[in-house]
Amino acid sequence: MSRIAVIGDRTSVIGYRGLGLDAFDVPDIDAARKAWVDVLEQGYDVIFVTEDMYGGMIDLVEEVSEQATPAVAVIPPAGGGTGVGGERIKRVIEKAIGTDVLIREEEA
Amino acid sequence: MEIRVNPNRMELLKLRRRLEIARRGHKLLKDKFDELMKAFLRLISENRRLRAEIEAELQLSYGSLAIARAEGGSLVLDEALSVPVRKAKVEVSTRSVMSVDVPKIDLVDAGEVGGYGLATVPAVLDEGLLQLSKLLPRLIEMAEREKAIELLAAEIERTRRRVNALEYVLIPSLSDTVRFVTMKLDENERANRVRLMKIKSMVEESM
Repeated sequence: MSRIAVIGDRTSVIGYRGLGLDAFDVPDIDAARKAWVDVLEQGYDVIFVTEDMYGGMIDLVEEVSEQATPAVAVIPPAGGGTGVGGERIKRVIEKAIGTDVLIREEEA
Repeated sequence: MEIRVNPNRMELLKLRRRLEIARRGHKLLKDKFDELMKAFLRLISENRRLRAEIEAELQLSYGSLAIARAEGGSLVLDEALSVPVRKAKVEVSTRSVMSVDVPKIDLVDAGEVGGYGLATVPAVLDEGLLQLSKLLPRLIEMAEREKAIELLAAEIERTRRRVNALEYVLIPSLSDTVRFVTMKLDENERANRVRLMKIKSMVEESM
């Protein structure tokens, strides 16, 4: 049994705290990177990161991408998302297939 | 490109065996690759839909929370939510997709949203939290799927590299070498025959 962590600015994560997730509210990216290290040490299996914080810690998140846990998902922040989370998955797909043209076709 | 070997029958047999194994391995890996790809594509198209839905609904509940913040003030909101009565946990097990271990994450949800004074906190907060709590299972599902996509992507890349190494390097070089050894053996055979014929005619002449 493991708990769920959310890393992001205060406005974005406050709601998750109300749901009983462990919200790490961080004012800036440096604090987010520190929080990430803590989160990994404490062995969370699911981590949500807001888009703006993810932008500053892509390298850290990449480090765990080939491990089975933690599962990291990028969520839009309170101010509205710019699709960074979707972009991240698209990059992974491109890496695997070499293109994402195939996927776009399938969707059309 | 050929492998440097002694052109004799022993080596030829060995090479043929290696070639046979390489071909069989290539076929297996290729099948694995196709199967991985199938699973991968399925995951991707589902995930794209899921993410679009979630991001849209997330904005709704963020909106309600923002209204609650505006009505009650951030201090009240922070205070109300700082000690939640509800504990959300996850149970993680693994399942195997084409021998790739991907996590299976189940949400273990306990308790109702709330635990804050109803007098001081704006009513719209309930709404926002409720929306968010309905979204939570799908958020977890998305995290699980995206992890699976990442893991499968890595495996696909590895498998493709192996398939290509076999297809474009090992198999061609083995079959080139087999050809080289066969030719060399044939050539030796012919040389030997000519030598015998020559000797035979010399012997006949001297008689």
